Amino acid sequence: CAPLQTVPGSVAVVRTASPYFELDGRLSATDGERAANGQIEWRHAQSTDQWTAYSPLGQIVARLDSNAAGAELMLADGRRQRAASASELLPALIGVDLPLQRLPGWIQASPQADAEVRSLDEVGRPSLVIDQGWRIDYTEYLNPAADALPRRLEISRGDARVRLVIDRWTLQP
Amino acid sequence: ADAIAQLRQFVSVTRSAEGEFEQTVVARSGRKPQQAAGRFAFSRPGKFRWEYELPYQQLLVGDGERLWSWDRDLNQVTVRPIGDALGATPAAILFGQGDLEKDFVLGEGGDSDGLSWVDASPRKAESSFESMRIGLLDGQLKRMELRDNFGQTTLIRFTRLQANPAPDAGRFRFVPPAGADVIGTP
Repeated sequence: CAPLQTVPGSVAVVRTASPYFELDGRLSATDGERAANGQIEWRHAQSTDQWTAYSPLGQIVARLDSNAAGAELMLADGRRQRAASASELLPALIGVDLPLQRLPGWIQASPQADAEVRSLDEVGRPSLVIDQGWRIDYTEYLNPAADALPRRLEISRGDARVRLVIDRWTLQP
Repeated sequence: ADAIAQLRQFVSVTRSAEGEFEQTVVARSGRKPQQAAGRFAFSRPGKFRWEYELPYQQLLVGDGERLWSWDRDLNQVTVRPIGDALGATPAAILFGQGDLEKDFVLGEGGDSDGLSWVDASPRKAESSFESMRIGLLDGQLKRMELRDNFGQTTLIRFTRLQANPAPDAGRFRFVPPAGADVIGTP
């Protein structure tokens, strides 16, 4: 595998993933054939998640709600779909099947302990993480601080690729 | 009032236009309203340019056959056939064929805010939005309010609208920038 491209002399900064966050951003996802892109909002709490996809005109195109009891996908045309968990429905929303237990850590550039931080940037933040066969490239952070959250990242594996620009982060203290 | 007559006049007289818009999206939940602004142009049927400059750069271009969308930050272009995707959407008011009654039930919405309003609801039940109001003044389109099926309302104010400008074919052509990812069925 690729040699460790850590910026010489940079030490991994300790980062902790927040159990609650809200993000507003823009996402493009493709599995090689289908492609989805648009504005997305994700509210994540300990055991509940809500993803909302918007059209450029700000209309809600789809909403996926999930909690301990199960998950429901609601589309703008009224169609609804239920499932035991959000991971069965997320592909219908963004077109790519992502591991949902790992996603909150990936999105905050605070991967779980068993993930491999392949390279760091000059401030000691992850720039490339490999986890469960997925590659997460952190191409931009919000600001130069060591605990800054990512502004742009790309998650890929084989033909599947999700590119996300995060315009607004809200973390609950 | 006679807002419907004004709308019909606008659709028949304004075969093309260019101008600027401001957009505010108000969510039913307590979420902060989202402001956006940019420029637009259209030439019926099916040709349009909807360019967001704020809060970020995003461009939608209909070249008559395909809908191109480009996001600078994502550095990605998606393209898909327009087909009848335009038909029952709010965009049809601006860029559609002009036979509104085919896709919408129109009703007089009375006068307010100095404008005459048309209430329009899509004929097809499974449309992507619930209802729309179109505000006109002296036969000119001034505002549109779209309510989606989740209680989200988008307000669009046409701060400038120049009807039937000199034609500029390049305006409705889109060439993906070098290095941008192009996804979809061109």
